[in-house]
Amino acid sequence: MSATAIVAREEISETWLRGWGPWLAAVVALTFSGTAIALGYSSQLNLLDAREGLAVVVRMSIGVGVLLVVLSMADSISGMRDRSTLEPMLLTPVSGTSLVGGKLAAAGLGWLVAFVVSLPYLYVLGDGLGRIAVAIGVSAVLGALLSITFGAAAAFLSIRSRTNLQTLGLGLGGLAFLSIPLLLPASVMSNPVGELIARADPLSAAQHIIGSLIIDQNSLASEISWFLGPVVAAIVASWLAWRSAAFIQLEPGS
Amino acid sequence: MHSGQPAIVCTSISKTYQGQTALADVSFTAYAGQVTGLLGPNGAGKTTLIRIVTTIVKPSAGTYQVAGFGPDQAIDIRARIGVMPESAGYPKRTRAIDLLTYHGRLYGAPADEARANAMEMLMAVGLADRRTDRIGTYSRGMRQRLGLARALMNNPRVVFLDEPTLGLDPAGQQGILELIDELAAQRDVAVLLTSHLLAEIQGICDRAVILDHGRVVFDAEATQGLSEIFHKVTT
Repeated sequence: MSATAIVAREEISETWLRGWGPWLAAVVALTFSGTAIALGYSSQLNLLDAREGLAVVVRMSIGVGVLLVVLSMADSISGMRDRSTLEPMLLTPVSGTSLVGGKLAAAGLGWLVAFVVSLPYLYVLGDGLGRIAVAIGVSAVLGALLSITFGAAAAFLSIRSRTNLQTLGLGLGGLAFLSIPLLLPASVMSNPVGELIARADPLSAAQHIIGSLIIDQNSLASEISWFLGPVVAAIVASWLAWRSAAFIQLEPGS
Repeated sequence: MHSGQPAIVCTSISKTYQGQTALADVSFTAYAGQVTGLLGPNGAGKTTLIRIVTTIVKPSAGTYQVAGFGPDQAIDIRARIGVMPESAGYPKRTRAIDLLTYHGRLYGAPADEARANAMEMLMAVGLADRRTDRIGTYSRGMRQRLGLARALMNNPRVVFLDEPTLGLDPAGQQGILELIDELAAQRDVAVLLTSHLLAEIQGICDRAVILDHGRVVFDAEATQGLSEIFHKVTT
């Protein structure tokens, strides 16, 4: 077994066997249940189309999953610094990239749990297997891309920050900043500059893809260019994390 | 590496942090089969020196060799050393046996072998009965023993112990020093032990190096004029 796999296995045990993982999964399931009941009730009253219900669950699944990954990865290195557990790890022959890679793989399980928990709700709320399949595909691809992007970015911040609080502040601040385009009126985002921002911002691009493929039922071919932003963001964030992981320091600047 | 061979060779090591000198031109040699004491008051640079020769902090100048490997071979050095850092933390919810097994696996041991080694180490430090307890329930003395067990998990050739008795009561201090003495004798390893207490170094060390304000002011056998120099440094 590689060092990355050994670290990942230990991290998974720490979170899901000895830690808060199972409780979190229960909270996520309860949240989905509450949302599904509300969506189902709205559909019966014809207030909400089934497609929109699917899109809401997909957004929730991705949002919750990415948040779990960011929280885990923000804690990855700076949290170890805070708890004085980093030094014994740095003293082993395991490389920084294996350490961060293992932690990122384990954190990815948080997204996977949110994704799996969402599947029954997608099935219940969906109207036709075709729509459900599209929703599952969109959720899987976008969720994986955004988890890699924000998990790797959080790892980068965690490696560079002096304290866990600093990492969490910067990580959640970054997420909030990237969410700004989602809050702007459609008229602002429909001009060329707005569209460029929406394509470059992985959260806005994901929002567009969900709306376009699940609600508007456009073809994948017509929307494929919108995946460019999230793919590039995932590559850039992974590269940054990989580069910094090779030079993890006991204290930044030591 | 045989008894009497150089295990740690420091050559003119200096370290500055933001203009402050932590170590200045430090040179000394520690030998296999011996316990070398690194003595000095708080802030003398002992922990910085340990972190440099264990490859996790880069020196500003100078070089070193540990177990025959230089600073460019950090992974080779880490594979051959065991370190008990001064202020190491432990995952509180993890069981001692699981922590040591995990640590053993990071050194490349298969799961079964790592678990067997972990059990052996816990027996050696007197924690076998508490092996399945969560580390959060351990006393400070027990955590120190666990740290010592972790430092020995990879069967190291050179062992670094940074203030191993810090925060322990006299009985706990005596217990851990006896354990170190016993393990050093049985395993024929080079041990570099830091302390700010003269009696500790005199009790178990073959050689002593005194650091004062980042400089070596004494480097000889632990008996020759050690007390006199140490009292000068600390008064």
